[in-house]
Amino acid sequence: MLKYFLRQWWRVVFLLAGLVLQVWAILELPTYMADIINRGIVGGDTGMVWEIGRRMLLVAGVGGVGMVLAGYFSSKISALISAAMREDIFKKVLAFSVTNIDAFSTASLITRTTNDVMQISNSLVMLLRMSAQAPLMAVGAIFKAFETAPDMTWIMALSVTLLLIIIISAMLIALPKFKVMQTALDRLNLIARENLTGLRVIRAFNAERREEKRFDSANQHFAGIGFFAAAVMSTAFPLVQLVMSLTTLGIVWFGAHQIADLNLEIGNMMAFLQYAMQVIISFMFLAIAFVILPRAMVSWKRIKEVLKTTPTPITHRRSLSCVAEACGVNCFERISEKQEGEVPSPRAEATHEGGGSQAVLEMRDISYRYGEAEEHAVQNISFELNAGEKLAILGGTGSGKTTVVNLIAGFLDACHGEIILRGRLGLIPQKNLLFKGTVRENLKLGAKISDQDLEAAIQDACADDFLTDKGLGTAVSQNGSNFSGGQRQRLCVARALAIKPDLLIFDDSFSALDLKTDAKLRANLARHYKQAAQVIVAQRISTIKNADKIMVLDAGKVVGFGTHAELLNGNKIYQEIAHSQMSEAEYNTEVQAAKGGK
Amino acid sequence: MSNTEKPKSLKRSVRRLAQIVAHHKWLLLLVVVLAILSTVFAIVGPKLLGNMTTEVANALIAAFTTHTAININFTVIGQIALFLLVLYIISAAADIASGILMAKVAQKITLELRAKIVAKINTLPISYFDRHKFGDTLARITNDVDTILSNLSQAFTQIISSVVMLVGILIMMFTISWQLSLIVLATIPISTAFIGIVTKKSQKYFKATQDHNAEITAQAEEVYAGHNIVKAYHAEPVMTKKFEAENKKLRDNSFKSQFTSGLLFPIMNLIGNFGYVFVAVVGAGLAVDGKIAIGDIQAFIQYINQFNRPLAQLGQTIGLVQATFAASERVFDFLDEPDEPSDKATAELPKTILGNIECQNIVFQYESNDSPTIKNLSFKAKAGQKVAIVGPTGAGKTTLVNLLMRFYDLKSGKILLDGVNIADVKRSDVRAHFGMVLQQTWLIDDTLRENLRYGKPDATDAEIMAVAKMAGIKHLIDDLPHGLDTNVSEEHDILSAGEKQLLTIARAMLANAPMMILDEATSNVDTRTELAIARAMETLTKDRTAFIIAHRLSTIRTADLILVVNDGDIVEQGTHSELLKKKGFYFDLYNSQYSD
Repeated sequence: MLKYFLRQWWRVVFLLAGLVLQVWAILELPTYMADIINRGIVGGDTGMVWEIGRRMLLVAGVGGVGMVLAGYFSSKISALISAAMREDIFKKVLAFSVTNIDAFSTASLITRTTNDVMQISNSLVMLLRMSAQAPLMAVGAIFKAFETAPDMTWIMALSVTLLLIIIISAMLIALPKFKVMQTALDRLNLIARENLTGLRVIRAFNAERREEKRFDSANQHFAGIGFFAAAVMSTAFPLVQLVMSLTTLGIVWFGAHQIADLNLEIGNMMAFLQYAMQVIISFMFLAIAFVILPRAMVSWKRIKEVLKTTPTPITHRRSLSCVAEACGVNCFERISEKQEGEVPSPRAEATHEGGGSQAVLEMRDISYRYGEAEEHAVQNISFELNAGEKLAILGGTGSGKTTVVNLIAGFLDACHGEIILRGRLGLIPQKNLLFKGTVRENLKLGAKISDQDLEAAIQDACADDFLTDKGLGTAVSQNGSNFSGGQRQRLCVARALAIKPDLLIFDDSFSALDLKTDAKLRANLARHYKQAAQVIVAQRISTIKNADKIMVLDAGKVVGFGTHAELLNGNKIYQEIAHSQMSEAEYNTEVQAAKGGK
Repeated sequence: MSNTEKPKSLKRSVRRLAQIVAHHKWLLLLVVVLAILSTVFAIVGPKLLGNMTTEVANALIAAFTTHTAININFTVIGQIALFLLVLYIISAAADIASGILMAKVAQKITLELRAKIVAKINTLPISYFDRHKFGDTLARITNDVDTILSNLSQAFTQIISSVVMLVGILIMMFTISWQLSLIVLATIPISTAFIGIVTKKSQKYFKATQDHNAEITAQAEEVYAGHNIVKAYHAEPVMTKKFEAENKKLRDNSFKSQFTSGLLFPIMNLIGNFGYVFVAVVGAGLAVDGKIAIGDIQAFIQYINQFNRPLAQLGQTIGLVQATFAASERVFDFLDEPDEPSDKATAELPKTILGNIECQNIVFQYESNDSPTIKNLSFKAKAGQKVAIVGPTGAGKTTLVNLLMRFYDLKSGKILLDGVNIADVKRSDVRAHFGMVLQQTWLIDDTLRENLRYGKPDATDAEIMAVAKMAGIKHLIDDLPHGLDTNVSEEHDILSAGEKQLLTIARAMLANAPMMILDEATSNVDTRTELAIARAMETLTKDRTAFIIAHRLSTIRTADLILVVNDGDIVEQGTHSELLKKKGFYFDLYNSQYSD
């Protein structure tokens, strides 16, 4: 935090200067006022009154300048600091690995980038403008008050103590309630949400009255706490007002005695009255700071967590960046090799490929384990994939399919073994992710690709029929929500094809396509991307039957590897899956065909 | 909460809100009386305090002019002080009482509004929720009601005390000195003009800041969610550049909005200070001439300080009032939506339901659609039969199911349950005879027990465990540390998707309705659980008329009747072998989808 402030040091100096001017002016005015009364009125000197008045106007003007100065720099500092923070977080998150992001969760990272920074920005303005002035003002006013009427400062001390007691006890009583209130509100929201999502089930079970009752109890609970908190606040404010009124009364009453004893001039009593008010107001501002500060601190802590996290290193970053550059070099080797428990050592290699004999993708005895998990997510996986070959990965949820994809794509770093990828990787993820902008921007993502190549990719991905007349300039709204699921999927395929990939990964990515488009797309791939190797992740056997190799995963282990026919003949788990997805008759035909093919 | 939102039909919002507020009119009257009392007492204070000072000053001036010892009359001062003490305490007490009473009223009103909205959810036709997002309704229950609550309690007392204070202070100021009052009044148009200019400017910047903040949030959302893509295609530099550009705009607007709005305070202060100086100077002149007492100048300065507050408060309150009416308009729009048409209930279902269902020429059209979704459909399902509904995704398979349960009403035609038209009986009676298992499992945030017996609230643990065994989740419950007392909900991750599905099957079993509606899960369930679910569904449909939105081949093949849905219409019906012989749509669908 200090680092951010230090970068703005000269603005902080100007801010302080502004605040000092402002405080000086506010404290100076009552002194002149006292002069007017003591010498002007009581002494009966009208000329004096006008002379002092002129000086007062000057002081008020200087104070105004100070205020504007303080306002300018406090706004500037908080805007600059929060913008710098936001940018730091964003860049940090971009550097994160999948593991880092999962540890925070995407939603939480978004909140930290936006809401938390906003919270800090708003608090900063308040703190810099008001609360920073408060200590200056309090010290100055106490000093002035002491100078004016030393025998009455005890009244000030007494009322400040009383006020602090009121404010602190109100906070101690109400603040915990506010927390309970939040959980009560969450509960209220939860039940309301359940009522909406369960609309049909509730009516099917004729449970409408019961749901209303359930909501009612949450509603009563929330309203009860809310009332209590409001009642505490409604009590605290009038009490604060009362203390302030009694303070003025006390000053006039004791002041009168002082005047009678010739210890005090009447103008000074009236000036003292104003200093006392300034002291009280300053302490109130300080109290407000103690309310704002913890909230800002919570946000800062959450931001710091992000900034302090070191991104999990990924050894093959270099080859990945080369992939995206899509420049002259068309073959890279990515190696991640290390023994379990070792500190990851960055090592990347790029070799130019001579002949076509080398495999596009090799996995050698790869294992991966998430963080502190006891079980491996995937274990001892080895295979080779040559240009033009299709590998299918089959398995249920939690079998490790996605982990394998993340390892190939370099999002995760293997704990053991080595992965070699020779060439460019075109990834089509499970979720159809598009960014706000144009179709062109979405396909290029900063790489140098000609419009011609982009258009060819779009045609091959069957994505040309739904673009507007603007073609590549067609607008994409946030998350691509102006396209249907199938359309988004086709654009994602086009994005992968545009970089002329050597390896394509389809992570369950055909789900939203209709049969006709699916067939056409497969035909295009076979025709124009014949040399590209493919990795297809799937759940249903029917979609991957024709793959060159099928890898069956269960609980992170390879439990079957071979062609459809081979697996159907000899693999128990594959047979079980096939059985569950086909009818008895079909299953038997398939098995017969497999035997015949053999 | 946005203060700039303006209500569309002010009149109706005011009238409907007033109706609800009127239920508490006596309490509110008490609030008003107490607020006025407290404010009036607070206004009298400075004047009386001024009298104390005057008393002292007069003694001083007398001593000064007659060159005698100072002789202050402490009996008079003491009397005033005592009187003031009582006044301040009463004022504070009245203020506290009015605040607490107002909180009570606000609490009652929000309780009432929230309960009404939730009750309304259950009486609206399902079609309402086809047209409106859940988030929208949720926002009305929480945000809008909250806005009404906080603004009502704040605005109501503030308007009263501000107006009383404004009038009261003006009266007090003019009784002290009309010359000084005119000086103060002269500053008002100046400060309001400044306030107007500054607020207009700053609001523009605040709006821009909000927009840019929304934009940057959207950007962060996209990039974080698409992190994999950004990395795989090395799009970090493009994304960073876009973010930096937006961040700069946000920074500049945020600075401008803060600075301009922050100008308000110094400007007001400066004008206030100038007023203060003039009052001091002119007041002193008047005092020298003996036209005004010193204590009165002191009182007058206190009044000026207080005068700005109700003015600013009233300005704020106008925003609050606007936001309140905008929020209450949204709430009343929802409450005034037409309910599901009331039941005709001209007929009654027989005591024991066999489960014969007959659809006669039914036509149905969604309100939002131009053409009917179901055009002219007839079929007969005999008691105990299994009916499979198949078709491509989005073909409208669920529409038919919704019609059977009377979630929507037909345009024409009849659905007969054991010979009785379901349109003629109470909706709740129709629904009571259907069990339902949907693909999207829905559980309440409560114990396993309450979830299982949701359809039969008086079921005993023995009954619950019996169906749990039938559904194949007995071992699951036994394995949980708290058994049936374990808390489950959609948010808690104790249960897997497949286990939740089994739970809803057990729930339907316990409700024991003669007819079942099932939606088979398509994905996200591993093979073994899928088999367990299939087995449980088989048990559930035994001896019951069952309508199944089918994805599994075995279900389709063993069905007594298959309804083939395409483009929102039923194109073919019959058994598996009959339909295959036809070589029509089903034949194509079957070959493409199920056997490749």
